[in-house]
Formats: sequence, structure tokens, C-alpha cells
Amino acid sequence: MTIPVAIVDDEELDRYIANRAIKSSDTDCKVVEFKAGDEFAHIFGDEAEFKERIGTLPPPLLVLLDINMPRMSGFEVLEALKKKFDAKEYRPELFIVLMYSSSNHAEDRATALEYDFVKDYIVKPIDQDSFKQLIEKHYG
Amino acid sequence: MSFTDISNKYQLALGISPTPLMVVGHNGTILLTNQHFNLLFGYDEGELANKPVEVLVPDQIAAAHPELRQAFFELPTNRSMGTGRDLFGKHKDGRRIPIEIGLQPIGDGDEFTVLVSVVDITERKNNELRIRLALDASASAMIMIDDAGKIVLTNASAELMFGYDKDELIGRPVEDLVPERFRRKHSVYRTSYLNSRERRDMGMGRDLFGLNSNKSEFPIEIGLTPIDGVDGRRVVATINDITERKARDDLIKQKNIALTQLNEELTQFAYSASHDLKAPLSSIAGAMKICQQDVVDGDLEEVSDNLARAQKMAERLAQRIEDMLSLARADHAESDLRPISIPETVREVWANIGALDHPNEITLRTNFSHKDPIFTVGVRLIAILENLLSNAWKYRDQSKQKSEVLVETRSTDGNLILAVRDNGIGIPEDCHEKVFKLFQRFSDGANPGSGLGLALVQKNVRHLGGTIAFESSPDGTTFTATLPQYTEPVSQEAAE
Repeated sequence: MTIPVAIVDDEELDRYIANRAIKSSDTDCKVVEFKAGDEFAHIFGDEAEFKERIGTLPPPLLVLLDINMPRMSGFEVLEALKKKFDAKEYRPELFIVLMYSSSNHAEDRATALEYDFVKDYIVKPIDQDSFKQLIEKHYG
Repeated sequence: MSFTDISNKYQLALGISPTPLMVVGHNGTILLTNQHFNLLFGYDEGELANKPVEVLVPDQIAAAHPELRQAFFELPTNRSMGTGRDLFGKHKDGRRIPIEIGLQPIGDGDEFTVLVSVVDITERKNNELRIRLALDASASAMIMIDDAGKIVLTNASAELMFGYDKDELIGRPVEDLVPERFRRKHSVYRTSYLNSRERRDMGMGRDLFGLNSNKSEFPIEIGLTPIDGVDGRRVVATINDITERKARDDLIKQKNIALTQLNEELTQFAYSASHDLKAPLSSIAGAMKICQQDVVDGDLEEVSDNLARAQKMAERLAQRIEDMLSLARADHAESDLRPISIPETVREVWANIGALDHPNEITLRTNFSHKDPIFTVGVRLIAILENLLSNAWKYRDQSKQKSEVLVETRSTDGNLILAVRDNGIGIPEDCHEKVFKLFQRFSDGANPGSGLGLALVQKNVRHLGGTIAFESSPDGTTFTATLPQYTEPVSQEAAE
């Protein structure tokens, strides 16, 4: 089973670090990178593009979602996703969203975990071991 | 009738009366006085008899008195003397005694005499004076009006506050003290207050203004008290000038706004520190860990790449901290206005931001039509231009053949208008309201900014007393700063 993983982060170095962690984690993942929150939110309005970039679900899509991004923050992406779920355009059980930020701010954590489809809050940087644990926890 | 006849006729009656009484003949000769009368004026018994009545009249009036007396004897009626005026008698020792006088003709024909009754009103006058002094001692202005809105009483504070002479306000409509635009309403309120007659503050929380004799307005507070007195329905208004208090309140309000803003900035700063300052460090830490791994694995090429990435990130963090410090410093820059050459400043700033190294990619055009001299705080204008011009360079539209930035200036009534127009990628419409907020970035280019530039621009524009606005579309962005120019330079030295 190949797990699709979306890295949504405007910071190139952070995407690289996450990619490296995933590659060396000894898990079977297919990574798609998004350079901004709006770029990720955009594919939810375009079925063909979603299929082309992400593929067909299940298995559920693992989303590593950064908070602080230009134009559309991670929180705004969560809000956009919630609308899609509420409108029943997508099934929330097909998404495991992990908030992924350098901020360890209690407020940020609380805001993120208010959304029931946000399954975890991870403080950057991520490494191979912690990524492996995440996969075991959410896909095991 | 002889003196003896009169004596016989009235002596008994006069003797037992508690009122000071005197009988005066038609030629103005004193015929008879009683004991109380003698006591009041300080004479011995019988001492006044046959003296002219003018010995009892104060010197100022004594000369005119015989004529007035004559007039009375020509048309005698039972009345009080000197109606409406303050009357005084003259004591034997020369001092003036405030009195009230009643005149009663007795007998008829040429032979009639006049019974003069005198009331000593010294005590009453003293009481009035005491009340007057108390009224005038009040720091609040007090104005009494009758049911027609006419002023019937004022105290010294009222005259001082509204700029009128003593008693100048008496008889005027109270609306004379109300600014023109409130007069019509005021007379309606006044009439309905007369009917409700409760003690309360005027205005029900609205701002009230008085109008002084120079026709200038000042903020006041008014308490109203209805009085049902001997003369009918009256209203006393107690008025306080609150100019100073209002100025103090306004200052506190302003300080509060500034504090709230500062607090917000501080909260935002603390929040952003956990994102914008920590993020690059987390990335660097992550990259270092990967480097360690790669060193162990011997993949030195990857190590070199990642060290370069980490270094770039560290530089960016340093720049971000520098930006945050300039933002904090922006509150404390010097404030002396000095003349500045705008063309020169624009040229220097443009040279500093590095765009000159790419003449094929971007051109700077200028159109200066402002009136010199321009007075401003140099470091602030430089900070404004630096950020606007470097944004124009950073967010140029690389799909365009050639990018262009146009700096335009002009002078309009008291303002310098400074516009920076580019044909860059523009600011997405849904981000417009966040443009001047801290840590806002709208582009995901390879070299992201700190998100502080426009906040810094706005802060500097505000410190110069100006405003900044922008228009943006996918074809480009124009930032327009309006900076007030003062005709009188702040320092003479600067003007030369």
C-alpha cells in the first residue's frame, strides 16, 4: 500500500527536510509538494487535477500542513477543507491532516486541533524516526 | 395746624408705634418724630423738630430732594418712596442707612402734612449681600431664568464664563448663551422642562456647548434645578466649563488608543516570534541534522548543498531580525524636519536595493513635479522609498518583457503626494486588507521577505503625519503616500 503524502509548505528547505525524512523512514509513500496553501486548496475544486496530482483515495491522504504561509495560511486551508467536508464533496475519513509548524504556541495547537480531521500537531523539524512513528500511529 | 396741635393729635399714637415714624409739614419741616425714629437716625428726643427733612437725606441726593418733595406735595398719594430704587437715610454721624419709606398724606388743603414711616432694612440688605457673595463665590456659573426663558439672575462666574459685564445678561433670553445651531431645539427643551420640573443634568449625555460674548463655543456641563419661588416658576442652571477636562479626556483617549495599538503590536510580536523567528532556526536545525547524516554516509555533495541552504536561511533570519528592529526603531526616530532633495534620495535608494545591477530587467522612471523645498524626516522618507522600491523590484512580473517602476511627486494644498507605480505581479485582491499588517507575505518567491516592509512604510508615513493608500491589479501596484508639508519650517536653520 503506497501512502499518498502532501507536503504543503512555502519554505523550500522545510519541504526538502520533510521529503528527506519520509524517504529515509523506510515507509512506502508517494510525496506531492505544494508551495502554498492556496495551491493545495485549489486542487479540491478540480477533480481531474486532484486525481492527476494525488491519485485515487484510499488509502487516506496524509497532509503535512504548514501554518505560516503567504496569502492563505494553514488555518485558512483547514477552513476551506471543512467547507468541502461539510458540503460532502470529500469524505473526511480519506484525509489525515497533520499540522506542521515551527510554532509550539499553545494557541496554534488549540486552533488546529479544533478541527476533528486534524489528527496531530507536529513541531518542525521532522525526522525519519518521528515520521515513521506517525505512519504507524495513523496507518498501523 | 401748629406744631403743638400736631403734637397733641399724634404724639400718643407715634409714641406707642414700634415703627420709626415722622410727621413732615408741607414746607419740608420736620414736625414730629417718635422714639424709634430718633434711635434709628441717632438724634435725641425733640432734636429733629423744626429741622428741614433734608438733614435725613444722604448728601448726594439732598440737593435734588426739595424738588421731589415739592412734586409729591402737589399730588399727594399714599405710596412708598423711590419705588424700585435703593433708598438710604442719613444718620446723625453721616453714615448711610438702607431704608424703605412709606408716605401717608394727613389732612387736606394747604395745611396737610405727611406721615413718614421708615423701615430699617440693614439686616435684609446684609442678608442679600451674604447670599450674593455666596453665589459669586461659587466656581460654577449660575443662571436663573423665568418661565419665558429670560435671565433673571446670574452670578459672577456666569458673567466671567460667558464674557459679560455685571448684570449685562439680566433680561436677555437664555438662548443668547446657546450656539446658533442649537437654539431652536433649546427653546423647545426649555419649555418641556418647565412642565417636567425635575432636578437633573441637561443634555442626557449629549455634548453641550456654551456660546460666549465673542461668539466662540466651549464645552459645558449643566445641572438644572426648578425653583418655585415668590415670582413664579424659575429654573436655575448650574454650569461648568469642561474645556480642560475634555482636553484631558481626549488626551487619555488618544493615549489609550496608542496603548491598545502598542499592546496589539506586542501580542502580534510575541506570536510572530514563535513563527517568524523560530521557523528559520528550526529549518536550519533540520538541515544540520541531515548534514550530519550525510557526512556519516559520505555524501559530501549533499552536505555542501544543505550547508548552502542553511546559510541562506541564516542570512534571511538575520535580515528579518534587522527588519523587526527597524520597525521597533521607527517609533523613536528623530523628528526634526529638514529640507530634502527627492530626486537625489530616490536615486540613492534605487542604487542601494541592487536593481541597478539588472538594467535589462527593470527601469526606474521619475516624474517630479512637486514644489521645493520639501521638509521631512530624512530617515523616514528613505525607509518608505526603500521598501516601496524594493517591493517593486522583488515583485516584478518576470513574464513581462521589461519591468518598470515610476516614481511620481506633486504638491497639493499643503501635501506632498508621492506615488510609486510598478507593473509587477500585483497583490491578490483577497489580501488587500492585510497589506499593512505585520508578517504578511503574499508571494511565494524563492527569496521570501520578512512580511514587515509595508508595516514599516505605514509606520513611517504615520509618524510623518501622513497617510498611505494603494491600488493593485494583476497589471501592477501603485502606492500613494500623502505627506503634509508645513509652510513654516520647524527650524529656521533648516530653512536656510
